[in-house]
Amino acid sequence: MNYGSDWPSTHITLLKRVRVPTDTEAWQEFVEIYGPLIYNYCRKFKLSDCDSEDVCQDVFRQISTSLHSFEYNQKLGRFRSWLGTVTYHEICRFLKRNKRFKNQSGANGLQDFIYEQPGEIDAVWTDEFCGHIYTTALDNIRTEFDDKTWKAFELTWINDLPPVVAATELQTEITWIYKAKFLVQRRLKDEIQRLSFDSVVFQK
Amino acid sequence: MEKCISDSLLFQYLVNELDADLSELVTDHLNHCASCQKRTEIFSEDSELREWHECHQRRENDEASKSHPFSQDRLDLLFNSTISSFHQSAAQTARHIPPTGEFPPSNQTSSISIGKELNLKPIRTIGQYQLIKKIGQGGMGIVYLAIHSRLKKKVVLKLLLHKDWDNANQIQRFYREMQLVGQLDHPNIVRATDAGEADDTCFLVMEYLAGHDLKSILNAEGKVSITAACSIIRQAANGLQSIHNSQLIHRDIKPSNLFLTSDGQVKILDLGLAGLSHAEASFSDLTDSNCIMGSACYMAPEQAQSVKTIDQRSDIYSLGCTFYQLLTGQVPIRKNTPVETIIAHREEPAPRLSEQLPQIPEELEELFQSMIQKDADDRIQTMAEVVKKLDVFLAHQSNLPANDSSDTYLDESQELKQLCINADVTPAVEALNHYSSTQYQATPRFFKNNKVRLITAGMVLLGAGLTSLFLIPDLIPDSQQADPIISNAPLKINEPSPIQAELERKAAVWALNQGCVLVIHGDKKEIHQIESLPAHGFYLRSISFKPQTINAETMLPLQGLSKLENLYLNDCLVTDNALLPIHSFISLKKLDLHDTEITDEGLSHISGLKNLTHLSLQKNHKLTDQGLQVLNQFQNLVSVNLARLKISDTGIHFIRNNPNLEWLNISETAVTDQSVKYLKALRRMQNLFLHKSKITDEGSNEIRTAFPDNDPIKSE
Repeated sequence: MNYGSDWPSTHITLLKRVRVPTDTEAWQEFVEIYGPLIYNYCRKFKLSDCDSEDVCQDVFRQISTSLHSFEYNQKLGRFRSWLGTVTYHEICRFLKRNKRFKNQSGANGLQDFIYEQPGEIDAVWTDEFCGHIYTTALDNIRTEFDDKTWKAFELTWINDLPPVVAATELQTEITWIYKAKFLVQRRLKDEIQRLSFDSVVFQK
Repeated sequence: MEKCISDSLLFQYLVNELDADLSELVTDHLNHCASCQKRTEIFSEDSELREWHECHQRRENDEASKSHPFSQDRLDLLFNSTISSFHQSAAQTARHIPPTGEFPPSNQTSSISIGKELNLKPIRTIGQYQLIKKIGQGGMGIVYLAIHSRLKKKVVLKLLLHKDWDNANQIQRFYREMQLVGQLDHPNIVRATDAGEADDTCFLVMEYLAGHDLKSILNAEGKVSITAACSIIRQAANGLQSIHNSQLIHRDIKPSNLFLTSDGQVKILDLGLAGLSHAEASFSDLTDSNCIMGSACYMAPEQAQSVKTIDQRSDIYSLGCTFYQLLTGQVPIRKNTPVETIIAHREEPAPRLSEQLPQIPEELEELFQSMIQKDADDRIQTMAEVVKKLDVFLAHQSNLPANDSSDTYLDESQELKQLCINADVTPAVEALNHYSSTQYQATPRFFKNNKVRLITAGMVLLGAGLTSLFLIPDLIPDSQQADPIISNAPLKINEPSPIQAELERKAAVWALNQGCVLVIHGDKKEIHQIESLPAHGFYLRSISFKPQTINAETMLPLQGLSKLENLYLNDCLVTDNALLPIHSFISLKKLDLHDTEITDEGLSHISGLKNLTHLSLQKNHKLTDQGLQVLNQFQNLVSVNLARLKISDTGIHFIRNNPNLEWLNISETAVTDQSVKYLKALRRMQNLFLHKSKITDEGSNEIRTAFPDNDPIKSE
């Protein structure tokens, strides 16, 4: 799932851009990509809507003060892990600050969670992260293709139907389906790569 | 296609990289071959992407992680609440980050900054190019920053707006022009990388450059220092000489068409486009178009009169106007309307630089005056001379102590000056064509200047081995460095530049290995062996091939021979694309294709040889009337041999454009009496061979009567 270092790492530039004080556009995009992810992760720990939003803000403030130490270093963790750690810490901090895990019964999200699924934090975060990036990428590229091309991709990729079935359904040649699927797949990969910063590594 | 498809072919097919024919073959095969279908399906399966998809599905199926919508309002809120802290921290940390050059400074005026565009969504896709954003608009079209979708390489794409694009001629003309532009390879010319048609218009793709055009620099700076202006004009002139050597004229030199890259190199933009836009333009077109005003301020007087009267010296005038503007911040002549401006260029005396800039060194005033003479014949004649004069000036400048620099009085951007000073200086390009000798000479006053003493001091230091003192030591030949007084002497015209010399030598060695016989400029004897090549640099003048098969591979190593005049391919077997590389032989005068089995298509590649005077096509049975239409491109033909070709009157249309014809053989062709009136009009004709053509005795007699002093019709 990791697009390795042999991929052209053009997508690094958004992270670079958010380091430039004047580039609010980059920061906006950054927030748009990762805001919903972090918010939903908080909700997963049974934080309320309002609290989740607060934690979200904390996470982004934290990111903004740490951005300068982004480096490209393949040996250190990926951006995704770093973001997971920061989010996790902010959630913990929030819970401690509010002491809700002591006072409220049944809403002790994090502790319950850790107790129930030890060692699963990383796996859950990975699914959240990848699932979110994947759907965002799908949404982003949808408008670039016409309906028929998109349908061919949906049938063969998302619904996992054999190309020959898709060809019948769309009344076209199987070769057309191959090409359509390949085209969208490649674009989707590019977009995922762009959004996920997978080759950007955070240096502590 | 019987055979199964290879993986690499399959990949090219899937990414749509095959040409139409091959793609169709693959489609046919793939539609019917079950095994290839299976392979395609396996091939296009992407396990990495599948993992992402599975993460997504796991999340979808997990009740607890039902996604909560996050509205745009909330995003805005989140953005606003964090942007301020982000700014603060970024501003703090920015001070700690050593400048790496990766980030554009915040006050950068350029519409282009490096890197970030790769992440933007394309606003439009044209062919293989994703247009990222509009970065400019001019009379000819809209300019976009674009990304090549496969190479992920930034380029600049110009979509041409022209009301005549539906006209097939215009499109052909565009491609022809772009072919010529595509041949040019000079550091001071922006490189064109692609051209094509899309959405009913044409587009042109150029290399991406970081920097600014001179118009925006002038807008920001007002004017530039003398050193910077000289460096810029020197580079532009050098690029223009290279353009002129390829028989092209820019026609629209002005600050907005000169680009200064961030490492100080000047690149000439928009080459070939002005020819398209102005070719059919008439004086009346100038009245209602605002965009012409931009050009009118730089337009040579002869340029406004007729497109036919302009030549390369018109570019010199325009560059002169640009020079003036760089130094003073104003154009030399400007009126309220384009028409008045153009008239003023013709009628009003040009201003003197010293009126605006009393400190201007005399030699620069003279150079400027010599560039903007009203009559092209009175002007400095070639860009090469402009380059030389500026080199001399700049060389002297660089030897002056910094505090004595003549332009410290200017309120200039030191940065820009440094940039220009540090720019790589491209080797001076020699002029291939001279119109007449330049009237303007540097005044003796220049040499009485006290600078000469300083230069002499510099030379002594140079002798002591301190070569680094010289910014451009290569520009002054060794023999001349000893005596600064003669450093103004012209370079020997027959000495090729080191690069050209190497190219000529390599080509010569190749040709000799093919068994050719060569002649070099300045030496009449034939060269048969590599050992006979002179040790010094030379230009090839003539190449004769022995009978053999000639294809593009044979000719390619000869590409770029700029002074080749004669090429003999007679009795060789010349394949269709063999002459493809021939367009680079811009000086070619004589081409012998006698009995070469050449076809119409093979002959079509000679269309660019504008200087061709002698052509033999005798005994090529595959040539038709249609193929001979390529000769209509020529105007300087003197001698043409078409004997034993299957051609008729249509085939010799070219004689109407070639009034200098002295020798013409159309014997054993189907040319009829219909051509007699055009043959009669060839006033310089001395040898006309007509026997066994379809021209009747009456026709022959009619021709004879037209030449009472001298019967041009010769038998055998």
